[in-house]
Amino acid sequence: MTAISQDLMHQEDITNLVKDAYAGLESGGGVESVDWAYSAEELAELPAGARDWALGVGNPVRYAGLRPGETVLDVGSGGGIDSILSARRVSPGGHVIGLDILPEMTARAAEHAAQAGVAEVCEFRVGQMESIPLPDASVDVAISNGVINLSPRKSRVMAELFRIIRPGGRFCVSDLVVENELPPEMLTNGAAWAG
Amino acid sequence: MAERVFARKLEKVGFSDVEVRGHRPMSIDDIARFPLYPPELIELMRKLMSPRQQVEVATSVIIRARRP
Repeated sequence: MTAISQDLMHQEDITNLVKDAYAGLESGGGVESVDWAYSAEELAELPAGARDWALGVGNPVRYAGLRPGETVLDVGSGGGIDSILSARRVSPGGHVIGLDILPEMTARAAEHAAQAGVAEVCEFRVGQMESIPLPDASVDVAISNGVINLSPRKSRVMAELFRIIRPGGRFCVSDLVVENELPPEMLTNGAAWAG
Repeated sequence: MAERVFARKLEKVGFSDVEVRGHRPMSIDDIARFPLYPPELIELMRKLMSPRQQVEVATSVIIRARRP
């Protein structure tokens, strides 16, 4: 985010734009939006509904090095793809917490986790990534997929993740970075922020 | 947010061993597959950005770090 764009849009406005954009969705990008990121074997682990609600920009689970028994936080869990894949990799004995700002998304992810047979490993909570409702040093790994870039308070999100990850724990995130200047008309476009 | 800014922010809050990998350019056509971007925004991007910029509007990356 540039200083100019911060000036142009207030943080709360950006958060509300993002929230409204996601709340208004009738489906995700579908498997064709992420088939480059997930293998056929990984996609086969997921129920159709989870694949339909794909909204990520990569595959953090593949790089997270998850082990049985670990506790994982999935920030912005959406339709549950990465939570479900994580649940399979931390079992037995592990636990996955999916966090999303939208109650309808957490309900959707819980349904998909049940369909995938990992409901007992996963729980989904409503909350904001800038104020994560978890105790200090309570997870082994934090993952996220195309979500941190949506926050107008990215440093705050990172500080929260540092707080809730145990010493020695890992952060593994897929996200978008932008190296080129974007036209000003895009910086003030709500849909551009939401994506 | 640029890659180097993302990494610097992670280090600033205390993370170590920050690593960025898996770079994949995202074109306008890639972005158009996501329902969050309405057709009018996609058209605006095509109009405002040069053909060279349209090939890589953003880059998908994997960022890993460790809490010491």
